[in-house]
Amino acid sequence: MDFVSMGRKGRIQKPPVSDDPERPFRMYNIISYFIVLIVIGLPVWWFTTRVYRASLPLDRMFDVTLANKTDRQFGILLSLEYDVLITVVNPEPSRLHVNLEGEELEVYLRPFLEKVSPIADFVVKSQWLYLVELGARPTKVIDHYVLSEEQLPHVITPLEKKLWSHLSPRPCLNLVLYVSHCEVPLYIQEKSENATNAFLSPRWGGIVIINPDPDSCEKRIFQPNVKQIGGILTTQLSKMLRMEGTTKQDLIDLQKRKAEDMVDSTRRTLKSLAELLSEINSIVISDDVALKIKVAVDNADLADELMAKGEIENALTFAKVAFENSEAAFSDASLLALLYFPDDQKYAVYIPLFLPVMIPVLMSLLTLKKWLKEKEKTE
Amino acid sequence: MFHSTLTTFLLVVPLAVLTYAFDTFSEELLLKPLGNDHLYAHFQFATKWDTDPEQESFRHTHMFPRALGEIVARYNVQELHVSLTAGLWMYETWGYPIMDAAPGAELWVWFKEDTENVDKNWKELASSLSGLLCASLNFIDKTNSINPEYTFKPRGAVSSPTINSTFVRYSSLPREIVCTENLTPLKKLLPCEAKQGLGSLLNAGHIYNTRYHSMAIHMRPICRDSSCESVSLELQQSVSLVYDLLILEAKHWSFRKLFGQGVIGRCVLAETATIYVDTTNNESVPFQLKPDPDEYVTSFRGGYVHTYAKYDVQSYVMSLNANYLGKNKVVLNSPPAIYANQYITGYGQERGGIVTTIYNNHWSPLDVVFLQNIPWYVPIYLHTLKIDAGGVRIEPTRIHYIPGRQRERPYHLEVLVKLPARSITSLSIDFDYVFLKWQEYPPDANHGFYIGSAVVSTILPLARNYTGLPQDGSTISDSFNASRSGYLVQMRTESTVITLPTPDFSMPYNVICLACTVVALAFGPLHNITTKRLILIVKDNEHFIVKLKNKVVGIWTRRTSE
Repeated sequence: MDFVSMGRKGRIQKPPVSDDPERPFRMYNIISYFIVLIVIGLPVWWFTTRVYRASLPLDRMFDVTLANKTDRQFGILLSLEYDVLITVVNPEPSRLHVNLEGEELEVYLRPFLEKVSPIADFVVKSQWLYLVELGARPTKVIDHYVLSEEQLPHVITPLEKKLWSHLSPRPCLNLVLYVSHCEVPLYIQEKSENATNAFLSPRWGGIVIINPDPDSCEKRIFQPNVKQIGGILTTQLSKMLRMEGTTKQDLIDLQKRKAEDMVDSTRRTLKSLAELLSEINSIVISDDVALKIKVAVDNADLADELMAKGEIENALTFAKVAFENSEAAFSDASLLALLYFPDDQKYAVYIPLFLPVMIPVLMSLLTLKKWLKEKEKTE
Repeated sequence: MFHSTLTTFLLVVPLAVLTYAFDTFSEELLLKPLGNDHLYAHFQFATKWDTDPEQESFRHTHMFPRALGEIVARYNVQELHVSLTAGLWMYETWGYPIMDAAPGAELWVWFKEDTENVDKNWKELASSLSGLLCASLNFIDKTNSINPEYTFKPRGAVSSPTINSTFVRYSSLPREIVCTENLTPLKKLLPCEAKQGLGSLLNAGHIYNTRYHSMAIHMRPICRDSSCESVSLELQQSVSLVYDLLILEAKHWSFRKLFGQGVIGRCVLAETATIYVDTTNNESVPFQLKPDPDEYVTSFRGGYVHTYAKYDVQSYVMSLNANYLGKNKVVLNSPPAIYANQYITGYGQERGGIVTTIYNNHWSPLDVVFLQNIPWYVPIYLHTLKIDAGGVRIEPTRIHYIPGRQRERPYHLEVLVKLPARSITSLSIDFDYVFLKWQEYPPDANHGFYIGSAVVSTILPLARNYTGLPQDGSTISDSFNASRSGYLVQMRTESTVITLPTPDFSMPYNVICLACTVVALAFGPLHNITTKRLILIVKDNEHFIVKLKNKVVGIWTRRTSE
């Protein structure tokens, strides 16, 4: 330490710099603080508190050409398995007993479902609903009642609430058979032949309206024509799958469409995942998920190649694998493991520790700069 | 597969009752005055499906709810018993209920013999049921489930006489609360929902205004007929309520006061829909029913006689009124043959004890099975188990004990004891209080941790105060004149709350603040000493006033000189 005397006016006089033998050591201290805290410490802290992300083929995920979404028709959800749920609705069980079995209907649907089995598996289920009405009020026309086309969307929503949920991971195709009240023969639009009436919502399912004949109403027991109903349901299912008919060429077209859809969906999913990764910092990619993504990308490319060559069935197999893996990767629970630990919380925990430490270290760099300039001048 | 024939149909009266030969549905309501000021209402909905439970895929259902059928099929369930209860059933004053239930949520399930991984199925079944019933049953897993050896035997028909208890699981969540969102799915499982029939009486605003309410779903395979050559599937849904007539401010009760409305017609899908009112005690506490009952039914059971007023539910809106005659009386009640209580002993937060007191009022000794499922954070010591009957130490007939492991499984204690006649027996066991890791405390940790109720099972030789269904019966009418050699009672005791030592949850914040402050305070001077040049300044010893005067004079002279 040096002594300094106060002058008459109280100003401090600094001792000359030349007689300060410890100056170089002080400068070395500043340098060492800087190295330990900022050069070594900051990267170590950064790497130990970062969100883990295994390596991903991000450029292959980003650089894809996607089909224009408006070109595709609105259709059912894409999946490898579907549930077909047949619901029979009897609004007035006290006046009419409907003699119909779910198993009988399944027998009529089975041949069609076997034919389309390469693209997906189908599980047929059935249930009964009683005392439930359609949500729309029909208007009376001469001797029958009519539902107009604008009223049809309002029929589905209240019915959907009653259909219960499912325990299965498969998306559901609903087929509803509504047995109308005895004195209320119900039709859609203006058709007045004695044909049953049906309409279809491409994403949800179909509704068939069955009118019991007056004879059955008197006897209080109604045996619907199962073959006819089975035919209508088959047509509805094929329309939902966007098939024109059931010939071999139609099936091949269906397979090609499904393969293309699956590859497109895979690419879309992975691209949105890549975009999310760049936007949200707290998504974790474990090694598991990275492997699934890699498999999905490889298989999608392979399926594309095979489709260009014309081998539709093989392409469909690879497309299915790609689709399955991309869905599994995107909806994996481990992605959100650190969702509630966003970056600002991490900084909030470490700033009270680092800020009071960094400020003196950084300020002392100015002193270092001055010393270096002086050293240059003297050399 | 068989269809209902036309002839049986034409014989039916204008009320077309659906007899789809597959499954039948019946609904009943029992109203029983308990003492002077309480009323017990029990709704029983039973669906019997004549299908083979082993073969049934549950893909095509009729009146049996499809949502429940899918769960049963997927997890290979043989018997399912789930109940959600709020309130405590007072066995001393009210006798025995038709179905016992522990406070909170209780679930016990028998899986089929060919199940591969029972624990995995159990966990996933609990999660699926929590979605179906909107209750937090997903907290049930291996850390709070046991497989009871003696207490919960299959209630339904079994294919082989040997029963392997590795296929049963039992768990209870005493902290669960029951409210409207649990009632709505239960109503949806009924074939007529809440639009017609007795389901229309289940209005949440009124039935939750009770001292005790419990809803339960029981599914099991039963014999199709007395020869038991084929098996059917039975589903019982029940809602049990105990009304406190003083709270209702209605000594003279009626459907309007109890449920807010009358019965809206009869469920057309039900084979039988009846209302029974217990008029056994009509001599001591007389009341008059309006409208007049269709008939009176007498039941002789286990040495006791009960009379019931029976009403068939009609297709128009109907309501029941009861007017109490005469003056208000105080009714002395004689307690039932056996009842139990549970409580915690000890003080401080180091050691404590759980005591279960069982009162045996029967004139002969009774064998009971006592089951306790104690969570892993309450470590009990088996060597401190003491069974005391009126001051005399008695030895248990058998003990089945599986000690718990921290964070892996609970403590499972089953004791078979022969209670002496007319005695008060207490089973006590000691435990320690433990510390938990700070993430294991639930929200509102200072509320405490629940220890579930104990289950005391016995077979009574007499049916006094007993309303339970016989093992082969599904409806309340099956319990009339159903004298058997023994009557099974499985009482639940109270659930208790203990306060484990709770940490101060603001500590992480405190630690961060303190550590950062210390480091900052220590680092600053250290950095200064090592990187700055320290210069000693000789301090001017002038007095403050003199310094101030000099300063003022200096400023003045400078002013005047400018």
